[in-house]
Amino acid sequence: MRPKLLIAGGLGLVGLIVLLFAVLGGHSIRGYLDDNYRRVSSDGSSIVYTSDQKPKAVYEDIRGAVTPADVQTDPEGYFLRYSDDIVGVTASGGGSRIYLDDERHGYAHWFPFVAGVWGTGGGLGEGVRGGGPGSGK
Amino acid sequence: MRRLLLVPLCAMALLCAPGVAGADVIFDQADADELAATLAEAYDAQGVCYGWSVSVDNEGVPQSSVGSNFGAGQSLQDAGSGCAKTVEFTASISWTPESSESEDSASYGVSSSTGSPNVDDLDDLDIISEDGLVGDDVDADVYKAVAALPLLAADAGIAKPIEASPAAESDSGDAAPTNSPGGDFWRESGMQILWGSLLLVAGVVFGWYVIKSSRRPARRTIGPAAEQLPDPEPAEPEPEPEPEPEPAAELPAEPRADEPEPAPEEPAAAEKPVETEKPEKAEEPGKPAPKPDPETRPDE
Repeated sequence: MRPKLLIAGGLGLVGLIVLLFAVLGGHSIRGYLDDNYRRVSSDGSSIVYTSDQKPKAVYEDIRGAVTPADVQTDPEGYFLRYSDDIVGVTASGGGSRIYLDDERHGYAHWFPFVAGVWGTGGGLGEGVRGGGPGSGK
Repeated sequence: MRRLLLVPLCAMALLCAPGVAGADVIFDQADADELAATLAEAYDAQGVCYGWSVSVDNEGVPQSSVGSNFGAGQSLQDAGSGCAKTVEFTASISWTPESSESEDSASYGVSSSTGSPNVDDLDDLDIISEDGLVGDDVDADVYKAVAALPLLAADAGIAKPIEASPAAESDSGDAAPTNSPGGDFWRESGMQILWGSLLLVAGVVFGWYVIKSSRRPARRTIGPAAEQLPDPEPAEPEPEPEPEPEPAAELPAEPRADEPEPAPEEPAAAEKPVETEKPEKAEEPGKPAPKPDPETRPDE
């Protein structure tokens, strides 16, 4: 009986630890950027950070730390959408600039790149989001 | 007469329409043109030629989608030797009929004249997958992958990065974000919470089951345990059975005494059991038949 009770207790304990990590260990995108990148300016909810790393490395770091809901790419940068925020990663010299905005301001700032994808106002490009010709089996 | 002239003119217009001539299996014509224009801007800034070439086996019908910074429908190969450096997204997709047992399949890659960037660099971005190419959003996935080629070229060092700055908010007019993407917390921790909850519930249920099942057998073993416990005590109950044999010895005598009740056959009934028992015992192999009592001989 004791070994079985130990197994049951172990299962419950592991589940509890996983739950605690999930609840307490999660990052918010604002907290993560504040903790890991240099803030160079802020205007209300819009904040700009810099990094010495190239845009691709910064993008991979942010995406790995806080999973975005969607990502858009353009020759000029990476754009990540979160529930309340939009992050833009662009090149700056040999490094990167990271723009953090709330959803509305971010959509307006990066309108040329995300219009029609994450909201209204898009002209061309809306067809891309309307589903493809292929239908998966 | 005018109608007769209009008909061939309309037919000519339809045949010459760019949408029909540039039929693309992946993109709408407007999206293909937009993507080509985006690549053209990158080419102007970086001096690298970009393009895409996607071949599709559409239920046995070969189709394709090609384009480059030179325009939708124009592949990098068509451009000839005008490009010092080229980076091209290539893919091969097979869409099978619904009735077919074989599954849709796809593969993709990145070919560069300098060897870098390559498909691994594209995979690092996690914006395209083979499953995505056979899904409903294949056009969005290919669009993202092709649009990312200039970023990969800059990261690989074969082109200078293109810098960008936010546009003025007034440029977007009344445009606003739609389709809320859902909470970041659940996207980030949803699976952890699910697994944690499952493990916790499994532990509680298993523990409850172990306790429950261990109690039931305990009640059942009360009997045997009680039987085993008396071992040291049997000294007291043992004496009780001893007197029992005495009445047991008397029992055979009692039936003999009772047998007379059946009636007039008292003497025969009293002797018959003795006679019948003896032959039965004699029939047993290996056991010698007991000698008959002298009292029974007279009956023979």
